[in-house]
Amino acid sequence: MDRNAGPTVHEPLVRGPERWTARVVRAGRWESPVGFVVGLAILSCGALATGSCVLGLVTDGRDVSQFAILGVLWCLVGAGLAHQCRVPLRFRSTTAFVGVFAAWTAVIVVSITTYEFLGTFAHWDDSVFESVAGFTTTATTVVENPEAMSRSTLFWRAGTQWVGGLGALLFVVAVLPSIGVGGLDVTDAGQRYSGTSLRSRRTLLQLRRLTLLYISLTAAGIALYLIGGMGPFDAITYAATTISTGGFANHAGSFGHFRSTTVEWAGFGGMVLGGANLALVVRALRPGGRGPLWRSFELRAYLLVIFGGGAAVTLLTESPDEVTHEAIRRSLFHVASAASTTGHFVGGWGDWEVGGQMLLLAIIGVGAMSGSAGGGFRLVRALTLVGYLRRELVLQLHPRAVSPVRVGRRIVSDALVSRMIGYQAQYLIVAATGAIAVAAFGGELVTAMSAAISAIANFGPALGDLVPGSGGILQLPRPARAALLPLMFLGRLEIAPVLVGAALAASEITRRAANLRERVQDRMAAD
Amino acid sequence: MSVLAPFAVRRQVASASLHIAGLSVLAVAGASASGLVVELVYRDDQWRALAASTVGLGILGILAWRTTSLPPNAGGPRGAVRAVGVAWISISLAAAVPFVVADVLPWDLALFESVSGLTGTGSTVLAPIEGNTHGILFYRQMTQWVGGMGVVVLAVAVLPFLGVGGLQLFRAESPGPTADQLVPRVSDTARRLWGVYCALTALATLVLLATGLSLYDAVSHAATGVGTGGFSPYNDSISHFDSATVEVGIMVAMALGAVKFPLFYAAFRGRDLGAFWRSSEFRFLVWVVVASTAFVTVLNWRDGMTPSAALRDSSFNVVSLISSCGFGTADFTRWVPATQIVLLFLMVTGSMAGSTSGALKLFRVQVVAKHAWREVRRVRHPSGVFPLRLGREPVPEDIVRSVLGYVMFYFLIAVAGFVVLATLGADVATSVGSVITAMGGVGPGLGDAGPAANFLVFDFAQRSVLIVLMLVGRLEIFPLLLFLLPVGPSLVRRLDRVSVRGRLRGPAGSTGGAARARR
Repeated sequence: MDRNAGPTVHEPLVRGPERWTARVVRAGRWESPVGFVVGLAILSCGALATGSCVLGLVTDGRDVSQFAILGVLWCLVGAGLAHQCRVPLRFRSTTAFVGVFAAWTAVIVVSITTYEFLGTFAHWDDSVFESVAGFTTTATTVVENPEAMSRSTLFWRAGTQWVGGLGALLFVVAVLPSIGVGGLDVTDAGQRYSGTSLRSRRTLLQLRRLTLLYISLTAAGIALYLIGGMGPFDAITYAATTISTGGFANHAGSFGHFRSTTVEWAGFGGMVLGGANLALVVRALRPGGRGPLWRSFELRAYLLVIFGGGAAVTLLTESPDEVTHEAIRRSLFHVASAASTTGHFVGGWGDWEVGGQMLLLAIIGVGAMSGSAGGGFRLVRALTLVGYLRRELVLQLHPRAVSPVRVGRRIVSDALVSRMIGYQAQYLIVAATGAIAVAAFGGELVTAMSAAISAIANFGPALGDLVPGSGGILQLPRPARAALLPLMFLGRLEIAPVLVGAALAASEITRRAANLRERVQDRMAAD
Repeated sequence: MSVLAPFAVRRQVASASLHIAGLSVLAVAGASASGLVVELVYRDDQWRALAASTVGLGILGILAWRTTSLPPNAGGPRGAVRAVGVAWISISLAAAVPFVVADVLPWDLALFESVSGLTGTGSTVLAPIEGNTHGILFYRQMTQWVGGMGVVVLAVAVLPFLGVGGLQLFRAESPGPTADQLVPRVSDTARRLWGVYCALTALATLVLLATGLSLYDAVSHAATGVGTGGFSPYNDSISHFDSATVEVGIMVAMALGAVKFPLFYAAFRGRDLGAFWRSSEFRFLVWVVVASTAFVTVLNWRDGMTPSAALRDSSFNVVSLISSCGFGTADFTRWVPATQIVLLFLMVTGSMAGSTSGALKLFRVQVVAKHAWREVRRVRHPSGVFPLRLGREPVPEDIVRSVLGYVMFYFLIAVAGFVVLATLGADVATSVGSVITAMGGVGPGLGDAGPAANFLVFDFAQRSVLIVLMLVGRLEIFPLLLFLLPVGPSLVRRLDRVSVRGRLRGPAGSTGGAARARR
């Protein structure tokens, strides 16, 4: 039988390391996939805090005891919760959304608690902002001078982005397509609509492969940065925030701090990798897969955006006879940062011509490839919409023509196209609302509009007051900053799953609360 | 047609484009003639220029019209689309003639002014406006009136019989995703629409007379108010009058132009004012106007205006921008940024489909918003069936499809416009505001191109981009796109070839990936 064919095929999980997985997944006392996922998420935070503690011990020794306490605490809470919960063989697709929503909320709460426990920020809302920006892999930071922070805190801060990026990657590649949402399964690596088989062997295998690939890519990034000339600590943290397309930096000047050509090229390479479709890479590495990498239309488009965009920005910013290697490198760096929605910068684009800035903003809005940790509208959707517009042109002249929508040579079904357009509309509506909100709380016109686009694309810096190196988000009033948080959250989790997840979680909580009240009342009546 | 007997020419070329273009140029000649009449009444000194342009354009129009004949069905959909494109390019050139002949503007500025007029945009490069004679200014107002309802619709109204081609011509020009047939015959529909338009303009003139304007002012502003153009013969636009009563009168005129004309017809025919409220789009319009007025008023009030002044300026500008008219009473580029963003979105949405207003039209906004929501619901119920309804009426899926495609085209062209205009040297706010205002046919933009500014702030290249955008927005993209792109047919052949090649190559269907993966 073809393993990949049926939408609801569940083979027993019995082979190799899966036996262990199967035992863990089925062991718990309560049947709650949501609890299990939340437990795992908190456990990963615990591992991260432990890592921070160890790193602090071997470096500057600050904040070590706090992180030791937190590491033990989060590990216990997370492992305990995951251990107590059991994942049933089948559950509704919407349960997955509740799980994703709850997991992200949980890690953000964990991170806020951590920052508050450490006393990193003077105001609690700064902790909230830094946590949300971290786990949504957005590069907006309220830290004015990262150099002054302790090493362990910097590691934690970069780690939130790394965990957020991994979560987003797994969410986009494994969860979304398996329930046919958002239309991302059009990618070369995507699966077919497969009902609610989240626990199918195939999905689990893919999750594992992606996680391993993500880890090895990060290792590659660390090696790249070490060769480029960074110190080991910087190499680790910068690699974590680059491969996750997060963009937090240990220095206020981001990559500009190093003043090194090789480091900048290494950063460019890392960001291009971070925004690339990892599922595609998995497929290419699989035995027998004859490298569909180069045949991928999306990958070609991605490289075209980066190099074409870089060339355009260079020409827009410098007059043709004054183009220097440095100008080309800076342009490529920033365009790669925009196309992968990372947010690292070298000097920034404040002194660019306006045309170059607008182009950069457009690239940010389109965003990274599908199947990556990057954000934005995502390239494959944009390409599909171009195909849709081509068909619209044909239909204008041949109203009865039958003309499929294509991405490269692949035909995209009308149902998927409809989802993508729906997503585009949601994206625009959310961004527009966000822009009005930011402006209403005191942002300038250009700042507000570009900040909304940048936040929903999980990029970070923007135009106006938010060009890198101008003091950044701290110039906005606190309510305006807060208005960006929902944009980051919605953008990271592709809008509709968050809304559905939040609504279901709310109704579930209300239902349980009502049950509880009834039970209490019954007992009181019995007494 | 016996009146036209003297103009009959024996040998005729079958060309829908030239035929329609000739008729359209005659409409511009008519506008020029009305300017001539005003000029003569006021005994100003530009009457020779106006008379010369009237006669010249008239001869040109009659020549193009009478030496050609309509091919059967007006050349099919492609021919209709091309005819509308040709017609609009020729009237843009024709309407610039009086300005050039009267030596008011050099040819490139005259072209900007004429396109801005005909497309109902209302961005002006006349500086100062008031230095010109009454006739020239009145002609300028009338270009907006003629362009408001559409010259091709006018041509369809006077042409005897067009068959299916007439509907396609009508569709290609009339604003909105669907062209509602009031009566079975297209030319009768076009005639009734023009009838409604004239009646509304007359009504607006009466209202404005009642607010105390002179006949000249009342007609001028009624024409550009109902036509939602936004030209005014005064430098300060509506603030020239400095009167709340006049502003209310102008708001009435703009509101008349913002409502779907078939609704007026239905209400008049059925003696039933409920026809308005039964339209979901109308209710949405009212809702949007009330909500954004409230929001803008509150923000302006908190910014230091007195409540009454805030309400007066906010409501006027909201109505002026959502109807894509663009009359000005206040410089909203000085208001707080949040109000400007709201106003910018009003410039994008526009008013009801089937009115003279420009931009996306609320019908499309509703469809897009409802589609976005139904895709959220589909996440909750992946196998659900969600018909898209406006009010109680389900919207057919092919209309939804074309609306979504149109909105995306609009969005894409706007983004391209932002980048191009910024590249040519405008700052961010200015390029965003002026592209949106040009595509929506509104008039004032943001930044340097606000209500108090003149579009002379843009250089030649930027103005040329804006001219194209105004035409693209007014003709709802496709006629001009198919006309401008390396001529429709060859493009389509290329498009078709691509799809044929693709079909021959790969296995069809979205399962192709899995098939290839297994291979």
